Amino acid sequence: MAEIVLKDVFFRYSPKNNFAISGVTLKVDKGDFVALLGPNGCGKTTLLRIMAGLLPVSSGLVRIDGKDPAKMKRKQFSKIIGFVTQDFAPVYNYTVAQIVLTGRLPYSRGFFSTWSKDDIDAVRNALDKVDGIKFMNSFFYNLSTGEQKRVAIARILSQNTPILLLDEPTAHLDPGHVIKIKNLLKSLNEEGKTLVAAFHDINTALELCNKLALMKEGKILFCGTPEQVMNIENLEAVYDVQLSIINDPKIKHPIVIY
Amino acid sequence: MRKLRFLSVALFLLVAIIICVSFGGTKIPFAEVMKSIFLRNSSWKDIIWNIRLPRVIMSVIAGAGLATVGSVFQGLLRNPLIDPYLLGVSSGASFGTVLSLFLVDAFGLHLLHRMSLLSFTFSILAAFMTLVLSRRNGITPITELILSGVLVSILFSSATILVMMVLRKNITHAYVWLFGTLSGITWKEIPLPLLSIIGFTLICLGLAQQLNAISLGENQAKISGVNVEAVKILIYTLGSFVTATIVSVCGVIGFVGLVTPHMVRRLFGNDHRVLIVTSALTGGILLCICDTLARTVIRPSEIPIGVITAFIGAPVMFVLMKRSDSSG
Repeated sequence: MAEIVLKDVFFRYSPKNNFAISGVTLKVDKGDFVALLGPNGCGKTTLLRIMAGLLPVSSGLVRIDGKDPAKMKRKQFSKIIGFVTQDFAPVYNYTVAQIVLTGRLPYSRGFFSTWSKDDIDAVRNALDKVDGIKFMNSFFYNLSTGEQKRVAIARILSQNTPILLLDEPTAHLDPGHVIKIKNLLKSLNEEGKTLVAAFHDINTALELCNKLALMKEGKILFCGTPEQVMNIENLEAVYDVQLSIINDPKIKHPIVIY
Repeated sequence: MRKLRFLSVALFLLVAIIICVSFGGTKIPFAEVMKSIFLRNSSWKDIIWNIRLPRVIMSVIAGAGLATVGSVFQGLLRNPLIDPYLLGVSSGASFGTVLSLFLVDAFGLHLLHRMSLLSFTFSILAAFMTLVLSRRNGITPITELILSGVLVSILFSSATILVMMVLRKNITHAYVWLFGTLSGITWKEIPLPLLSIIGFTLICLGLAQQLNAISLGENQAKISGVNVEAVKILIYTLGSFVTATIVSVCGVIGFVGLVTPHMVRRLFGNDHRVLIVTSALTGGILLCICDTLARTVIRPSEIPIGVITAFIGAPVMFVLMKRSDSSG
């Protein structure tokens, strides 16, 4: 069964606005790594928020693991799907451990519950995956932007969900941190997790993902494997600029030059 | 280390209560205070048990309540400038009190004045109005809530001034109340605020992890499975109820609910499991000391306690702001 199904989904932020998502249909299978690509404002983040159950659709069908997010309890839903947002910026300065522990809330046993050994282990595991054990007890705002990004990812990893949504996971990072995050995403996908991520960098998407969805003005114009959708005509139709694609035998995937 | 600091604050509160009892219109020797409290065989026993202790205890309860509500509201709204009067509770209470003074003046309805019933009723009404006005599509957006609180506050403040214009005789009494006073507190007035603050603190402690998640951002909390709207409505309602029980008895005491959480966050961090309890203890200490100053600085007269909290709170807040700037 597909992990995520969107069928003819429409969404707008208010009745006065145009549709931010307009007739999107998308199927994500178990173990897929899907990239949402497209220019700024094309609806990538909005689509991720809809999948994360943060925005109610105006019309259409949304099924996550066969269930309707609108009819599920938040706690149950958060055991299925995790979402690393781009805007993770706490107002108060918590320690890394305190932040990552909040990812264990779906597993808390209710009022006055304390963290169990499983919770602590999950936090350590998540921080280990992002190479963050060393700053476990540091304060969030004492870390670099790259480290903060890794903390935001670790928080969602500790939630231990089979589906992960990521909004621009490599944005604003230096090449070293980009490579670390890319390796992490690869290994998560190899572990069997289903990933859907919005990317600005087409080459990162080509390197990591087995499926691409090219979006423009709230619609998915082209969707399929990189081989099916990655050509000059499609890219120019989506981005409205001239791009070129080169194939280097030393690199497994084509490279888009812009 | 944190436990030691925590115990120090609790011990400090205990010592502050005992010391503050000895100060007032008349200075009571410390030994007599101890004898009165623990052995009950001092000649000062009646003054201490019937006048000083209820007042000091009420100051601790009010400080603890306002600081706890302030710290939780600041976390919930992710805004360090929020105080317990966010939903217009203080303006509602002020209007209720001034109205009750008017009723005493015009119709001799003393019962209403003594029970602070109108003050409590209007503070709850103001909070309810703010909550209803800010609701949109089944949720309570932060900006709408803050704006509605401001609008309701302005409405009730204007109505308060209108009544005060009509009520010229008792205007001094009204002014004293508007800046807060713990004068004349008896044991009878203590149970409702005490029980409400205990209940509120326990509920907030039970929800501490959810509050931590919400203070990372509402979407972050939803992603981690928190029913954000339910927590918000519960905390706004109960927090405003606690504030109303305090304000209707003590008047509008400013700054404690705003400044204390800032002090506590610096000493103990932002984790709500610790923040809630330490805010209560620190708020209790702060108001206990402020009330002692209020009744001793120009004795035998009293200064409204809100004036003292403002004189202490404003510089403290300024220092905290400057320190925060210098540490980046």
